[in-house]
Amino acid sequence: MSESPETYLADLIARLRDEINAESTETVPGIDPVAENLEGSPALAPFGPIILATVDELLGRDAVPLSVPARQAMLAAVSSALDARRVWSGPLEPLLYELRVAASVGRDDVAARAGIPSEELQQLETGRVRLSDRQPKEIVAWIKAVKAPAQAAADALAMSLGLRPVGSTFAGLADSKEYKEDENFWLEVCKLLGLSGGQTAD
Amino acid sequence: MEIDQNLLEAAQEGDPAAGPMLVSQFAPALVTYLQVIAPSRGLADVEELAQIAIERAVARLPQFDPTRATFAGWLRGFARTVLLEAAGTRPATISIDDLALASPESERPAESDEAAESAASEALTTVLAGLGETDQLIIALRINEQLPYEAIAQKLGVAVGACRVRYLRAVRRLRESAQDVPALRGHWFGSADHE
Repeated sequence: MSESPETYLADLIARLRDEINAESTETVPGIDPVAENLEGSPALAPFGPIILATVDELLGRDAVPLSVPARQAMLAAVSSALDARRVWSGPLEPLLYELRVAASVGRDDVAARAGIPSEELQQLETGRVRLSDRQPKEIVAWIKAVKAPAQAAADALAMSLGLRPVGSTFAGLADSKEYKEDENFWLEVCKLLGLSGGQTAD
Repeated sequence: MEIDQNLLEAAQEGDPAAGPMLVSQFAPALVTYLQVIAPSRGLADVEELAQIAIERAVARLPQFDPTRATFAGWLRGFARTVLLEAAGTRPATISIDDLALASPESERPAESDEAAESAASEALTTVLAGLGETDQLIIALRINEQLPYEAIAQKLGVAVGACRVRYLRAVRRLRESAQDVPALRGHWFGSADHE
């Protein structure tokens, strides 16, 4: 491709246009069951980057700017989705809380499934009680009760316990008794989740 | 327009500043696309569907694979799903399992299915790449993007009938190329059953 990408895409579109214009419709192919089935099928395997970019170029033409109310509504929706994304890169308590609330599952239900009294689960969800004050198996039961993915939960737990970034050593801190206890707690939870050293066990 | 890597990373981390940029860069084309594939729906309806599609895409950002789709194309995939749901073709309920799918570890099909699908997908990618670029383009527009012939013709400024003929000839070449590929034998476009 010696020309610029934009020129190449425009040329490809022009080539297709020319070919269609040159197409004779006098001998129209008959009914093609393959073609008809394809039209209702899921998207085919990925096309190459040139085709994908050309499709974007063609479909991006004539796009009309959003009205102010539509843009505002769109921004609010995206903002909410970004908030939810932040939960996935934060500590465990809000992650498990958000998963429960988003699924419209009551605290009592999760508490029963996790084997933790409901009042105590509330204390945990709100961060008033340290996770390491509970047994590792209880934390794992809570994680499983809201179907949080194991690796994400392990990462979030490391953050809750102040072990992040995982694997790094903070001068002085890593030698403290509390740090060692939290690290052992985390490793035990990882083990119960089927993870090895915080990594997915393949 | 492809997504900037910094914008993608900011969105994945939930940076609020990513919101306005995502909306400005991708929402207008998404609304226009939905108007094309769902011409009977009103603008307000289509805008709402686009909003749901973008919101859902942001929730599943870790699944975005730039080697398989452009970001705009990935968004259009969500838009088509949302449109199907709105038409009652697919369930719209969100369960706790769906939420788990929004996580970085999501969607892991059974290993045997995954291997077969992966082999077929690779084979089909090779077959598609062997077609001429214009064949690939019209197949991508018609099948992957589900554009009606009228919309393709309008976008290109050509006659609808000729557009259909061109597509049918491209599919015939796809079928001819696919039918001798072992990995595609179980797929109807790779067999001779429809001759």
